[in-house]
Amino acid sequence: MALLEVTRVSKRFGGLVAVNEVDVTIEPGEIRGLIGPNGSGKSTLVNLVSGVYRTDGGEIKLEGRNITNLPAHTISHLHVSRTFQTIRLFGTLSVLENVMVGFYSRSKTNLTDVILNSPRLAREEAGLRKRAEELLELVELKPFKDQPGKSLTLGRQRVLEMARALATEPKLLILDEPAAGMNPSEKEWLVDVIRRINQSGVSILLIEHHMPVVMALAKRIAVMNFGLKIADGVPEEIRNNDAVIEAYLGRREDNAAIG
Amino acid sequence: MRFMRSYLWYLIGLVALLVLPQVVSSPYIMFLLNMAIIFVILALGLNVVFGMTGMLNLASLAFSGIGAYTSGILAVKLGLPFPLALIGAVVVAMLFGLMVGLPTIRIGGHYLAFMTIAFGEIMRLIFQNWTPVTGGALGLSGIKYASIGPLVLKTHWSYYHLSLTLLVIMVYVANRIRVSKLGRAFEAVRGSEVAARALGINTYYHKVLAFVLGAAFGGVAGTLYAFLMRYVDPGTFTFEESARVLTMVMVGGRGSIPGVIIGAFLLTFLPEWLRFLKDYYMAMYGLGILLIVLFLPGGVISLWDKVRSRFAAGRRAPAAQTSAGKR
Amino acid sequence: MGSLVQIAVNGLAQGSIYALMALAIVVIYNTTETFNFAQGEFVLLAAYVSASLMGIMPWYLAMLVAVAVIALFGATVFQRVAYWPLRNSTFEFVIVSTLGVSLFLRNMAKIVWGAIARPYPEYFGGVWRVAGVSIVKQHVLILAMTGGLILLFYLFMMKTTVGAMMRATAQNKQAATLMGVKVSRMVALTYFFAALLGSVAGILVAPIFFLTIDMGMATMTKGFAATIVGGFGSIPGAIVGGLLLGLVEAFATAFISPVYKDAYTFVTLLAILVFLPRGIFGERIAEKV
Repeated sequence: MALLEVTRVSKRFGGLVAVNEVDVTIEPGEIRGLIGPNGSGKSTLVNLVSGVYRTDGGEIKLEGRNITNLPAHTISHLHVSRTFQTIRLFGTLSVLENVMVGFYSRSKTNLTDVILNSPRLAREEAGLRKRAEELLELVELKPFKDQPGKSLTLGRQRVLEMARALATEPKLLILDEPAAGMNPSEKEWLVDVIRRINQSGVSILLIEHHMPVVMALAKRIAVMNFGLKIADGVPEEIRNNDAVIEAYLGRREDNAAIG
Repeated sequence: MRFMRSYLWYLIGLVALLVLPQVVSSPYIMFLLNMAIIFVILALGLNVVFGMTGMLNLASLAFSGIGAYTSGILAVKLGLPFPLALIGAVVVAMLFGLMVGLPTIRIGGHYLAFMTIAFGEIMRLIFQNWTPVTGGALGLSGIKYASIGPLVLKTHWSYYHLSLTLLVIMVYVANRIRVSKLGRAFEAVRGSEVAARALGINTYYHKVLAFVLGAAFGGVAGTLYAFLMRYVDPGTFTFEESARVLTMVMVGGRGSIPGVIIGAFLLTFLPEWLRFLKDYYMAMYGLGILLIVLFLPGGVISLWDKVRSRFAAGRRAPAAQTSAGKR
Repeated sequence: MGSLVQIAVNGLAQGSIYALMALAIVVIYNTTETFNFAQGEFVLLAAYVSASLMGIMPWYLAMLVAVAVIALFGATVFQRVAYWPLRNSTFEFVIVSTLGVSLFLRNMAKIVWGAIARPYPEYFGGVWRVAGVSIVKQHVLILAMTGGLILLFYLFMMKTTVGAMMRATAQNKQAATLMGVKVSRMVALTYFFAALLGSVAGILVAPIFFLTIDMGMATMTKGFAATIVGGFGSIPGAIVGGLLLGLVEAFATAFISPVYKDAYTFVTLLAILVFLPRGIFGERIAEKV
């Protein structure tokens, strides 16, 4: 059974159809690529899957269970987690605390434990702290654990968002343009980190702009343009697909005309 | 070790506050110290709602008003002693917190600030006009001296020990909230609601919870105020006073508990220290607030952080340069 | 019937003042996404300054000079000190900075003019009798001035290039900057309007009330209420909300009891919050993703 099954999902904003009857499946354990020019509907699709937006049609299933239009926090409880295109770290918290926020739904203590600082809570906190450090170790951010999250470089902030998302123990991790704003060496590091996360047993949906990153990681890539899925296949197929080339070349011409 | 150090500072503060009444001889200064504690508790409550969770509540005084009237009425009409009146006031204030918090589910940021102004005004008008219950414009009088068992607290000095005890409890509670998973969840809501939800935090629940917890602080502060004055005046619970509590939080350092404590003490005593300016003291107080916001956006507490980070930078410079990855 | 008209005129006049304040609040919010809690001090300053100037010049000139001075003060010193340095901070910083300035201005006014309430020189007193209805001249003046001012404001916003720039800035600051709009000038203009509206409210309302140090705060609170009733951030909402509040107050005072005058405002407010939580012209606000 597929891990995630998106069937004919649509989203309209006023007259604009941002996502138009798109189908995407993700198999357990894979890194799935999703590419497309700016404004093609990739991020909207992510927001539909993660429960930020409500769909205008179609169905989203997680391991056969219908999760369409569930609240975002419920979808997170069902082990789907995500990062954001525009970084959304919790600026007032330290790197470690940012990760610990992700443990929230797994916590078994209540308000009384919090106020009375019960031994149960202390045990739980110590365990979570250790687990958070392990996650930071995995993404190589442990040396920064006590710094404010926002003091990190942009690239590290993006990776911290990944560690934070991992704290919810996702089966599926959705990465929304993780390489945006990274320099070449950071991108290399990113590919490394994503691969390691995947090897720890997490399936990944990778939305990306930078072709080398997607091509290096994804075994199957879906392509969107103007809200439609225009291609889906292995990297070689995508590279030689006429519609994809047109979508990207067309965009390049536009860019040349503007700039 | 970091915890040890922050507790050490709290301990030093507490010792100072315990020694203070021994050297103060003026009842007026003692009264102000009691007031400062009441404002600290109010500011700590606002810090939960606004400082941590990011919801601007401009009706702090409405909650303390609810606390003051509830405990006052319980004491005068039912003859309840201080501890029971306190519990009653906290429970009623929390119920109002729930009532104000629930609509916040649908309302974001700036509009919420507007709504709380409206709530504050509505409560003020209820205090002023519901004469059979609140005593109306004349206020609620006839509150007896606070007593704990056989102990009757008749002076500002003896009352101060009660205030201080409650202050210690409330600072402890505020600190527990801040350093626990609850504080992290609140800070997450403040940072980004969308991201908090994506991490499995029910933001609706936590926004309401923040209001309810914040209201509890208001209930405690209000009860302390009612028994300190032994009279509740409807003119006390105004928008301007709520704005003053906000100013305490901002001037002290939003989100920081020691900062908020310093801010509340500072702004309670600053007008007194400026008395030598005679007529100009309130104007200068306004100017002072402006200058702090302009030049110390992190609040007074950020001065301390600057000093500390300068020391830390000196000691930890090599560690800070460790790179993130083997590239 | 005659008395109904009288009450309505009374209510509309009072409501116009609230509308002016609400409009100032909304204009500032739309450009700067924050509030100016010293808005009431423009009212206070205009009233006191014009009263003082009337000793040395005719009343109309005194008012004109007072309004001009306050509007320029708002557009220059005030916004440069209380808003501009904090333009990139979150909105509560400006709330606190304007609160500080408000305290400063109010207490300076107290030193200059004294804390005791005093009457404003009557410049347009008397009553007109039209078909058995007596109408206070000052109320007519308020309605005419407010109507004229709002019309001018509307024409400016809708028909001039600078107005279009202001609307663009309110819609999307970044896009406006890219199109060559200078945000600093838009901010100055916004505060000019806010101070203008506030100071006109000040000279109009002063003859009805006494001059007091708290008159600014009181007027501003009503302006906030009008904004909530009309709908957060909506310009027509500010005007309708203000007028509605004025009418509710006037009719409730006449038919129920004058004792609870302030309470009527907030009963209206409560009703709006319960039944129309976004106000009459309100829009939905959500976090952008």
